[in-house]
Parts: sequence; C-alpha cells; structure tokens
Amino acid sequence: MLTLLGRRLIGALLALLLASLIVFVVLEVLPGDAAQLMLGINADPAALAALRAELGLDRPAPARFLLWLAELLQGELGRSHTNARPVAALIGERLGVTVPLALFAFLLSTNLAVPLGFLAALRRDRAGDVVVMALSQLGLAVPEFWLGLLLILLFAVSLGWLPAGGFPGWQGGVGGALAALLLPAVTLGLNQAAILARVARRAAITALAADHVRTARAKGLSEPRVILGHVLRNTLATLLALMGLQLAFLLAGVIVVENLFYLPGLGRLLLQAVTQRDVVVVRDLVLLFVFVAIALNFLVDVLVAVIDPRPRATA
Amino acid sequence: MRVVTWIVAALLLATGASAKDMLTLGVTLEPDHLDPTAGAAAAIDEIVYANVFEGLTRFDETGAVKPQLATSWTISGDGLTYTFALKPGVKFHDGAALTSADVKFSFDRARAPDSVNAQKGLFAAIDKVEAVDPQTARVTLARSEGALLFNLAWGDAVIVSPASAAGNKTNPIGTGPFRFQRWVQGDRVQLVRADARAKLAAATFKFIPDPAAQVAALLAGDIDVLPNAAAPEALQQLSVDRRFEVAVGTTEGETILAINNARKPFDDVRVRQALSYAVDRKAIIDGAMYGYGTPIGTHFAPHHPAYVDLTGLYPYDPAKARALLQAAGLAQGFKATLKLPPPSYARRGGEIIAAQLKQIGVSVEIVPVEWAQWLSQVFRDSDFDLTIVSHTEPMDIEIYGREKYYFNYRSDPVRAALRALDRTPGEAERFGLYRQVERLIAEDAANVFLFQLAKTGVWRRGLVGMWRSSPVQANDLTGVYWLE
Repeated sequence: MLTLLGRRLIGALLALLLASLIVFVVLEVLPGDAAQLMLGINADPAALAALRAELGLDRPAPARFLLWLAELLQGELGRSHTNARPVAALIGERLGVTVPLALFAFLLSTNLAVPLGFLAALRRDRAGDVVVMALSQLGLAVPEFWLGLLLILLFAVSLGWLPAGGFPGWQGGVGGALAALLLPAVTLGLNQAAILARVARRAAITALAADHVRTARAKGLSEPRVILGHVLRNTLATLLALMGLQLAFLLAGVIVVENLFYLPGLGRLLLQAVTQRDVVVVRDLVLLFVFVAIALNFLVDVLVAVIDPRPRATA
Repeated sequence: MRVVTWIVAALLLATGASAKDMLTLGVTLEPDHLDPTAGAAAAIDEIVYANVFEGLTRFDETGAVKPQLATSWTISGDGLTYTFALKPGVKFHDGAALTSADVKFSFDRARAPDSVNAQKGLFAAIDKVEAVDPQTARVTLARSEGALLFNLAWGDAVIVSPASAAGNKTNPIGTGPFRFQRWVQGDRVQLVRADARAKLAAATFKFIPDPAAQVAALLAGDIDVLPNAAAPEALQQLSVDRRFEVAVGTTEGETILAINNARKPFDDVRVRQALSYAVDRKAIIDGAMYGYGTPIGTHFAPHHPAYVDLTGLYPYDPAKARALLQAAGLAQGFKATLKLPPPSYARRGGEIIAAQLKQIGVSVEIVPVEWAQWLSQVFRDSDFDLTIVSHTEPMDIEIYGREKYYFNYRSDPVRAALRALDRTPGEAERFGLYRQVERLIAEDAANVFLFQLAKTGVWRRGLVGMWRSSPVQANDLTGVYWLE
C-alpha cells in the first residue's frame, strides 16, 4: 500500500512538471500580445515597449519559464498582467463560487443518476428502463446553454422565483447564494446525471448477472439486501472512477454555464484570462486544474482500494 | 403583529424607497482594470468616464466638446499656448483638492517615455505643462494642434492625483460625481454618489457576457438598463413590451470591410472599387444587424456636421463589379481570405459579404479569429486580405494618413490634407478639409465602407437621462434619475 502511494506521488509530481511545460509552451505559441490587447489599436510603440517591460515580457522565454517554476516552488502565484492583483487572491475569490456550484451539481447528479440507473437495470427492457434511457439520451443531447436558457426563461422570467443569473456573495446570506446557484447546478447536474445514469445502469446489469448475486438470491436474501449489499458494492469502483472525473470536470471551471449565468467562478476567470492573454493567470489556473484532477484521481484510487481488496492483495 | 410590521417594512425597503435611487446596468465586457489612462478597452470608459474620472474638457451626448474641470480657457494668437482656469473647490474622492499641479502631473505622466497610455498620440503636440498658480494650468505646444481641446476630452486624458494614480487600476480615485465603492471581479462594479451632482445614490454595473442572458436578466428585473444590448434580435420583442423603452442612437463606430491595399490584387483601385460595387450594404444591415445601423460611404460618422453622404458613389451593382474585375484582368475571379473578429457584426456580416462576393467570382475563405489573434496578425503584422472591423474611436479619419497602418493605404493628397488639419484651428476650414479627405478615400475605395454601428439601449420605463447616442463608449450617469 505504501509503495503504491509513493509511486503515485512521484507520478503526480512528474505529471505536474510536464503540464507546466505544456501550458507554458502553448501560451508562447498562441498568437496574441498582452500589451497590444491592453493598449489597443492606437497604442504608441514606445508605450507598448514600456508595458512589455513592466510585465516582464521582454525577457527570453526560457528565463520566464524558470522564473515561474522558481516562484511556484516558493508558493508564489505571481500577479495578473492586466490588473496587477495577486493570482492567489483572484483564484481564492472564485473558489467560493465554483466549489459550492460543483458540489451542488455533483450531489444533484449523483442522487438522481445512481438510483435511476439501478431502477433501469432492475426493469431492464421494460417501461421504466425505456423511460430512463430516453431521458438520459435527451439529457446528453440537450446543450447546456440551451437548457440553462430555458430554465432562466421559466423560473426567472416567467415565474420570477429565482434570479436570472449573477452571484450575490455568501456574506449576503446563504439563502440568496444557494438560490443563485440552483439553476446553474441543475443545468450542470442534469447533463452529468445523463452520463452517470447510463454507466450506473450498465454496471448494475453486469453485477446483477454475477454468480454471487444469484447465490444470494437463492439463499433467500431480500431484494433490498441483495441490491445494497451485493450489487451496489460491486458497481462502486466503476461509479467512483466516473464520479471522480465528473467532479474534476465541474471544478475545472464550467465555462459555458458560468458565462450564461454570469457567475464569477473559475471558468469565467480562465476564459477572460485567455482572451486577454493574461498568461500569468492562465498558467497558474491550468496548473491548479491539473493538480485537482490528479488529486481526485488519487483519492478515487485510494477509495477503490478500500472497497475492493483484490489489488491490495496482489500489490 | 410585530412580525407583520417587519415584513411590511422589509418589502417597502426592497421595492419602494431604495429602488428609486439605485440603478443596475448590464454590460457585456468586464474591463481588465479601471484606469482609463492605462488601457484602451472601451469597457473601462463604459464605467468610469464622466462618472468617476473627469478631464479638463469632456464630450457631451452629441460628441461636442464641453468644459469640465476647466471652466474656461484662452488660446494665444499663434495657437501654441492654452491657459486653462480650473473649476474652484473640486476635490478628489480621497479628499485631496484638485490643483493645477494635478493637471501637470497627469499630462506629464501620459507623455513620459515609460508611459503606458493607450492614446499617447493625443499628447504628441504638447511641449510643456506648467502650474501657473493653483487654479491655472498652462499647456504649451511644440506645433499647432487644432484638436487639442477634443483630445483632452478623451478618457485617456482624465486628471488623476499623484497620491492615488498608482492604485487606479483597482481603486480608481477621480473627481467625478460618483465614487468607486467595490469591484467584485467576474461579477460587478459598484459606484456610489460622491456629491450632489449625482441624482442616483448608487449604480451597479453587472457583467453579463451572453446576449440572451442579458435580455433574460432585464426581463426578470435583475437589471434596469442595457446601455448596449448585445442581442439586436431581441429588440423587436422589447420595443413592444410596455415595461421597457428601446432607444436607437448613433455611435462613432465606422464598420468597414478593410482591404489590405498593399497586397495583390487589392493594390489595383479597380479591384477595390469592384468590391465596393459588389457589396449590398442594406442586406448586411438587415441580415447581420436586424436593420440597426446607418449605411456609410466613407470613414466618417453620419451624424457629424462635416459628413458627406457618399453612399451613392458605389451603389450595389454586381454587373459593374464584374466589368471592373474584367478590366483589371481578373475576369476569372480570384480567391481571398476574410478574417473575422468575434463581434456579431463581423461574424454575421462576414457570411453575407462572402456570399455577395461570390456573385462576382471572388471566392472568400472565412477565418474566424479572436481579438488577440486579430490584433497581432491583422493589425500588427498586416497579414490578411480582407477583414471586418468597427473603428470606434471618434474622428479617426486621420488613420488614412498614417505611415504604417494595417490596411496599408497610401495617398499623398490625403496626407497633405491631414497635415493641413493639424495646422488649422478654425471650425469651417477644418470641416472643409475633413470633407476633402472623406471624398478622396471614397474615390480610392480604400476600404469598403459598410455602416455606422447603432447604439441600441433598453431600459425600464421611468428612467430618465440615459445617453441615447454614444460619441464615446461611456455611460454618463450624472443626470440619470427615476421618475416617481
């Protein structure tokens, strides 16, 4: 178990280093000049040169890459090119929107998809299955921006129950903040649930056909005990792997939904930083996303190892 | 009973008393920072121009130059010395008094070698700035500059204080009727009343990038105003909705199909004229802008008194366009690329123009680009055949005289006329010279002049004083209030 952990840790560090190099190179190759973007089309060449020097863009690329790594090792995230605010503060503010939104959508999606997937598996090829699968097909096909817009038109414009977008902040009260996150979370959650429900159904069908389930039934175990004790446990490894991916996706800033609901989250920060060529913000953010993905992956591996004793026995 | 009283009080607060002196505006783009002297983004001026920051002069809604921090000025006989009398009793929002030393500081900072002012050219003629006494500032020019008072009205020429200038990007401190309160990045900027000139107690700018979401926010009552509605397709629906008022006005945005005049075959005037004949402006305005926009025949704003209507010079005439191509030896037509930046006027207009050019045998390959790419490839490196862009700077016809400019137009008569403009302060003579340049560039078909962008504002009925037209991309809220 410990050697497994150690190997994973070294792998994670290498992945981070590789990701930082890729991010840096991509941003170098991408056409666009942060100074010209800020100063616009009438900018004087001297003013552009002055701004480039101020941003440190006049230094050669390898020097800037090493400087960035050195700063990262000291826990420094640098300052935004465009407004000189510390990147750590920019990201910190946005986490207060993106993390609750991701968890909210994740809870909705999981609580909806897993029971429905199981229901469909148990009613395989019957009406319940067909309805669930049709709904999940629809959920996959409907684009987020359209679903979100329909929800806004219904719940914000026609009924006036919820705000059409924006985020009032947590200091204004938990109720208002949750109300602002409800429609975006539903928009995101339905999409994720559609995928998860299909996977849950498939995993449950496989588990239901297993010999030990037949044995359990033959022993006369009640159906709920068969499902919870034997089927669910055997599908958990598959479900956790997908759920880890989905949570990473949700935390990595969901650009479309944050834009539609004008939420100040990480996805919007990333989009704005890319369009402004604010490379300091982009590279730190992307690296953060890589880190989150690796950490979640690691967590899922540990959980699976706890649930499923087989890999432990061989390792 | 007590609970009921509380609820009633809360409802009154939420709907009545407070709503009538507060305003929430929805704007498309969030600025990178809030210092108009260190960035070209229109999103900065949309919030701070005339609200937070003020200059010696300013633009009013019609684009006319008016006194602001300078109450009056005298110009020496040779046109080289401007003496400004400052408005007495003006204070910055941090409490510092405005003096002529601030004027000197602001202009010297904008002109300095390490200046990052986006419009440094506005100050190019200035030789020195002096504080004669605390209430008098003198600007001496190295050469005559007929447009100095106009130049000083730009957001890039606002007066800042040495004590606060360095922090203006995130904590803007000016002399305007509204004081900056808070910027929740990604969400909103809040301004509050600084003095009695402001009729509103507070104004909030919310950043809503998605055009459909902007309209939904307005319909849901989350915002009161869309000063520039990004979804022209929704205006029809809003204009018949009694809760709202739709105002269609003008801007300084000349939208053009820019041509790389240095590239073959566009270096041939007959080819450029053929493009002009091949483009049906009305179809573009109707198709891409839902009818909002005024056709133009040259690079000048139609609402300006010096405008010449040259839209009849090249009427839509594909047969004539084909004949011109034939004369230029291109009877078989040719291939060209069309680079389109993100705004809908470019992306939608580009599709229509490509279809129209196909009619005369020009097959156009559309290349969508984002702004960063557009600026570096098209604008900086002139690496393009055709592009569509709106030039939103006021009175920017002088770009046709620049030594190196992205569309590579070169004309000695135009340059001579523009040089004469620099030396001419008298309005009638200036207008004459402008008209001359307008004609010259149209005859040369330097670019295909499409239409003037419209300003399409929507707001809740009962709101008074919003600008209907925007000579600068600004939302001056000083005179805005709610009718009871």
